[in-house]
Amino acid sequence: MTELVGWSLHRAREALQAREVSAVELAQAYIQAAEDGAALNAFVALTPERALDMAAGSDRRLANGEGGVLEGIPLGVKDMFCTRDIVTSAGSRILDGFVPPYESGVTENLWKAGANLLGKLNCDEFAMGWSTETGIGGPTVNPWRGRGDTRRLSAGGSSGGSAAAVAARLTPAALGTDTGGSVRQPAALTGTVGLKPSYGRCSRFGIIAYASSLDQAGVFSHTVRDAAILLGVIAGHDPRDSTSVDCPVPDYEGRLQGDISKLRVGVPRECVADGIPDEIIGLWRQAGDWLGEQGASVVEVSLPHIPHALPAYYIIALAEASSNLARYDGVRYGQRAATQAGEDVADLYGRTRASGFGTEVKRRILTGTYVLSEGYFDAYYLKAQRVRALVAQDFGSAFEKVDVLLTPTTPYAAFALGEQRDDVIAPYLGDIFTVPVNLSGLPAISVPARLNADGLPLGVQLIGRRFDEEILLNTALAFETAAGFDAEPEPWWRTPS
Amino acid sequence: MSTETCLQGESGQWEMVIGLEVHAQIRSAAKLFSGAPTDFGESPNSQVSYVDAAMPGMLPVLNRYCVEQGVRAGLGLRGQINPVSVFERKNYFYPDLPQGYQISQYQCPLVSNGEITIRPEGSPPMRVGVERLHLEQDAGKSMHEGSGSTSLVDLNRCGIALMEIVSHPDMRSAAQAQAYVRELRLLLRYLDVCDGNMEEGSLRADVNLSMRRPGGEFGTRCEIKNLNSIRFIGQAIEYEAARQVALLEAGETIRQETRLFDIHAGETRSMRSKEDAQDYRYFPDPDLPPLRLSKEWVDAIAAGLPELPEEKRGRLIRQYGLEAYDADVLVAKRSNVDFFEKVAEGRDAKLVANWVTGELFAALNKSRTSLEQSRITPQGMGALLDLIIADEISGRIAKEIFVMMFETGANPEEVVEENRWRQINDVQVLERFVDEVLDANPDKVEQSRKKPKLIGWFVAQVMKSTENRANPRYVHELFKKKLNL
Amino acid sequence: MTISREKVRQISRLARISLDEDELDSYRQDLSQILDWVSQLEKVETDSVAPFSDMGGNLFDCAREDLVEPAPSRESLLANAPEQADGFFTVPRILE
Repeated sequence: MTELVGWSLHRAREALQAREVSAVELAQAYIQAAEDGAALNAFVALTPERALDMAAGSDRRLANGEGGVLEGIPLGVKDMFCTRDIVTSAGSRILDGFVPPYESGVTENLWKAGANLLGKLNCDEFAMGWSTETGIGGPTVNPWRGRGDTRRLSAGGSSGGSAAAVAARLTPAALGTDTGGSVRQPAALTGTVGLKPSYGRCSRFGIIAYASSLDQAGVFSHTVRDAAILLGVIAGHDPRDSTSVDCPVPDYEGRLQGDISKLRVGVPRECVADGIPDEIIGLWRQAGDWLGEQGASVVEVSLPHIPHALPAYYIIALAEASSNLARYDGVRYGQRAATQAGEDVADLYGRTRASGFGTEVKRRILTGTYVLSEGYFDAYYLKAQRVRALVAQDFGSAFEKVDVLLTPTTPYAAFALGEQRDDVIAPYLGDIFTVPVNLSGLPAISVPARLNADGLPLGVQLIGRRFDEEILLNTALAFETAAGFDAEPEPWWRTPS
Repeated sequence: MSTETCLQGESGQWEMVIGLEVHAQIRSAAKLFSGAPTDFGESPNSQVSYVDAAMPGMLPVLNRYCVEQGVRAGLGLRGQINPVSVFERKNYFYPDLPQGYQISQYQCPLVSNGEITIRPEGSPPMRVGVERLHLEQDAGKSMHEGSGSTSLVDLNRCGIALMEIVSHPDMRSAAQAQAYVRELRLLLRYLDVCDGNMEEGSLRADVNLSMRRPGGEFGTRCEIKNLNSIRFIGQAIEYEAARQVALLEAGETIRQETRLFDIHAGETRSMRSKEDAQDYRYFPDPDLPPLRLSKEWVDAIAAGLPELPEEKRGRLIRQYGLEAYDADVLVAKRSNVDFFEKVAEGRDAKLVANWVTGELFAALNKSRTSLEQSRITPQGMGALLDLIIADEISGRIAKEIFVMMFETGANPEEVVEENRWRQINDVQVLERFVDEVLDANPDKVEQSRKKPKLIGWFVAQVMKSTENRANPRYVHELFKKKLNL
Repeated sequence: MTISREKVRQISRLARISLDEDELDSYRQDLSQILDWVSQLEKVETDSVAPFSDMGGNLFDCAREDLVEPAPSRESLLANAPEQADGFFTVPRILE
């Protein structure tokens, strides 16, 4: 059974279609792996009955030579996606026990393509975090450990559950969401591939909103090919989301060939900055060399406003979040705090939201409320949107000269759980390479590059033109080939049985 | 400055400055951002989509027809239809507002700079500027159960499309404000964008009122919220103006605030506010890209607009030679004018107007029905009037026939035939009746030489003997001739 | 920059998040730090830059027709409600 879970999604699909293995067998193998991986706390809930039921349907279709692109593939889904009749809490006490009577657009696409739901994956509360520690699910543990070090490390966040589950092979691939790096950062910290498509490429319908102008569904996988397969399934216009874009979805998988000889790759000189460790800069330069060896021309470019992207991002994200999270009031769903005699509805709101939201979420709602409030709107929100325009212009100019940009994904490798808990600003700084991408609506992918001196994975980020995931994925494939990353974490979490 | 709109205080004259914000429910089958139905009076929480209830992950999708309706209203107000408008979030907490924000338009409304000509009772028509028209969501309803500690929330109305129409502070009296709402409602009804039903809340007005010395600087204003009848608008304004004048005369200042009109007490009251001043934290809704309208689309809507009340009034006066008053009365309801014009085609328009605004409207009023519900058709009405015009029946008979038509839907021709009511216009026949009366009443003939008014008595005798079928005019002429009057 | 306790109190009321005195202090510190940090944007020259407004697209093109979709049953609408009565959501008495 453990052999099955060692496969890539692509390989598993071949095996299913060749009837080497049945969908039910595959589902059982992953259910077992997920149960064995309980120590990682990657899943907030497993849905074995749903998975086996759906897998049985897949087997019937496969036996008839039918079936979709993902027929029989079990998948884990971040708990930010609403799944019909299955508890969806976004990691928040305020939504504890919420059962959506509807299915998100992206997961609907997965099930239509034949995939089956293995379970819901842990995340930071409302996807607000870097370490998957702030949700009601408790901390997710990174399958990777430092060499000679048994400390529990963070799998990153906010989609840490998805990243850990893929890295530990508890699921062949997983869905995450990415608002400022919540797919790419955990992917980098777990040695997995993490793809955030262009804003508008996938439906946001049924995804619990954090910051609407930045949120986008994303995928975790072991290989670039798997990411391409998944993107082909989840991408597409959804009339229920007015920001999803009605443009053709290419056959990403079919067009994947890894030839980048005609491509120009830009390396932004602003990546070398104070506070970026040498090991990160060194990796980034190495990555440029690898792409050069694969035939791309690598040129330096400048994104002068990148240093300002972070504060602009936080102002905008928190402003939107303060409004998006206003609906959690304990009236129509979710948890409601008790009120005392004589208290009115305003007290109900105040108490419900005080006890239902965690500290990080409250901090962000309060900050977002502040920057939108009378007298501060222009200085914060509008100023941030002006800076956002400058950041987007920077990318626009760069993409006149190059086809893809290369940056590190994170300025760090996996850190210990609890390490970032008490600092308010420092964790923001880790998003330096990822947030400009969300501000500009671009597609980007984090691809594992190599292990650092401590034996922890590092990734690099490739950024494409908006809606040009095809070139992005081809470049990523070339990089993957050049890097030849094939390290696996020691399976310490498996309890001997 | 006309002094008739001013209030006399002890320290001199005061003038009202009034602006109105009207919320009109857009007539559409589905809500502004969801597919839920907009039917009125359904059982609680039965017309609510997951979007309306702000369930997690739900997103708004704009109803294009509601935009079309807004554009139609904007064109009717001769406003500028903005090629780009933006939906924003107005953030506040209330149980009838599930999202925690209302999607509305703020910086960039759908329509700017419109105007409307109003006709206040007893004064000449005047123009009122319309600053803007924008689209927004209605809220749900919360109800308070008697003295209980619980409130109930019904979200049926939640998300229904509204137009907010904001006037300039151009009005100076309650009558003008009432005329404004009346004319606006009429316009919206002509355009079929709002049913204008104030009792059901389809049209509500917020009144902004301040007082100033005639022609002087604007004073501090108060807003009276949610007035749902034209009568209450008048009462609230009169009360509030008197309240403000009393304060100002006493040397006090007006506090800018929101007030409610208590319809039972007939007075306005400050809304208790235990919170800090509202801070709505407007910002563009990131779920909704800007709304960009093509000129072609707007032009196509403009081309399909019906004739509007103002134009129709002018045309009725020009084309049919109607009095302004009759034109006003007819235009007040689109179906009435349509009826009038159908009947007036090829007939004496003044006669038609008299009958429509006279007998017909009186009968409708008395029976509390509308023209649509009544049994009177333009064809029937026309046939009746044709009988009058052709002198086939007298006015008196016509009125009797009209009552029968109104009550039973009778055909006037048939009624005339069945009752043998056709008027006797044959002078030779009439002469026989006249002679009969003269022969039988020599004493009256004698008296008539001194009292010419007795001719009325003679005519009445013939009418009696002909069961009202004699043409009274001819009979009158005959007597005049024979009595040498 | 340091924001006042009163400001934090006002913001927490606007956001409908009840805070006790200790929490007021702690969020006051956090917010001050965050606002300090984002104030670096003041240095960016943006006088001639229009604020970023959207990712493109036209709401008109993704608008829906005026077609009624059946509303969910009241049961499913209320299924997740913490409290309900007679088909209504219920809340503690609303004071005007």
